[in-house]
Amino acid sequence: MIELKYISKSFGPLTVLHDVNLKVKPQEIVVLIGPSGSGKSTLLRSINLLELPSHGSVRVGDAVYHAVQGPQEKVKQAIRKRIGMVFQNFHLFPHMSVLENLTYGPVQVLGLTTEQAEAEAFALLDRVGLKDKPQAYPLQLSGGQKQRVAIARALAMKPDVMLFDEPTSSLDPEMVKEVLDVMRELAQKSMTMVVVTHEMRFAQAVASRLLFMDQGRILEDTTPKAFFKMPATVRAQAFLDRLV
Amino acid sequence: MFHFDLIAPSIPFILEGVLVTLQYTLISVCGGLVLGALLALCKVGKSLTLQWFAAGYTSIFRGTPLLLQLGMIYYALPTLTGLTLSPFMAGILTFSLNSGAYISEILKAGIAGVDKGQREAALSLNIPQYKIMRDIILPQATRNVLPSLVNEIVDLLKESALVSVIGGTDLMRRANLVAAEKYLYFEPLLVAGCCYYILVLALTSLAKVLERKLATP
Repeated sequence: MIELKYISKSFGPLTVLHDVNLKVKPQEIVVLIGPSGSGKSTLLRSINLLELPSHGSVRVGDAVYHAVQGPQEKVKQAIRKRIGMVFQNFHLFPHMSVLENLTYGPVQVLGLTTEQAEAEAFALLDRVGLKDKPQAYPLQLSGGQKQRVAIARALAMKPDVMLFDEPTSSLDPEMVKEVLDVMRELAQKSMTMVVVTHEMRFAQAVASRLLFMDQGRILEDTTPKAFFKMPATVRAQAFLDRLV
Repeated sequence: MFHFDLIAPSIPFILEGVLVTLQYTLISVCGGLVLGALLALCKVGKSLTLQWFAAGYTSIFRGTPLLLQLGMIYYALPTLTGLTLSPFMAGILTFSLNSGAYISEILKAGIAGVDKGQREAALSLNIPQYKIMRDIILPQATRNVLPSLVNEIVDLLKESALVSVIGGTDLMRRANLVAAEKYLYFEPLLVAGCCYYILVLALTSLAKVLERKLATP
């Protein structure tokens, strides 16, 4: 489904990813953990090419992006078409209502009629527990509600893979659960997911595979069970020791 | 010591100038907005040539007096090209070109002020570039810079008095005509001044209403 080959990313003199290789199979739930600055988010954002790798290639389905070959707008579109993304700070469109946030993409990009898009939007809102909020604007919603709308907005584009970039990190503690519950439900419905998170309990309960990153490299690629029992590397042990 | 009675018959003549001044202002604002939006897109776009062009254009129109620009278009252009413009056309053209430069700077700042996450979210939804600009970035940018835009329109309204120099019969010119005819300065200028002031007040309160309407609830 997804295959990253020898991905490197540099910002000026700073190299944040070193020759990373990663394959994600359909229906896998991959959780990326590691200290801040370890390159987790950059790696995740490389998958849908919000971050363009300096070297290496990204394959999603049968679309392949090669870092050395220039812009490749067609490839970017083919890749992004299959991928939905959820951000730490939601990034809902503030000048659109919840319903408009959910229907804009399907109408403008997928070519659905407004009626079709709205019908699907209502179904999605129901699924994330917000069917009473279609006319609300993002500013009127709590953080947890915003993030659930953001998940619904990404799902409205019918992606094969969902990327989550620290989806609960800017939420008040009492709102974390409502977002994780939606993600759990997605996992049960066999969505392929790649999740950057600090929620260790979520990783333990939901992940089918756990990657530990540090200093731009994947140091461990294992199961959550094995990882939380006893990580193989000293750095991962140190990381776990520092968690409460 | 005041002789409003002497100019009373001419007051309707001065007041008609309000419409002329409004015409200059509104048409030039529309021209300035279109031009300003295009220049702003050049400034934030990828093409270096267009960036340089827009920066050079803005630099020239902000770096020379408006009165000089008006003179160039009304007096110098006909001798250079043989193309003669009416005072009205010359005024509108100059004000549009001039305010386009200022408005482009305002819009550029507005575009830069939109959270870059908005663009990333739109890209992740695979929305084409021009739709991201048209439907996601520009609406938010315009809302952010609405107060500055209103300032620019108010400036334009007041600066439109310059067309009186080339014979446009706006509010200012009419007041001057009456003054010259009656040898009275204070009274007609006061009438014109009140008109300008009321127009500016009306414009700013209209903008406040608009701002409140556009604000996301």
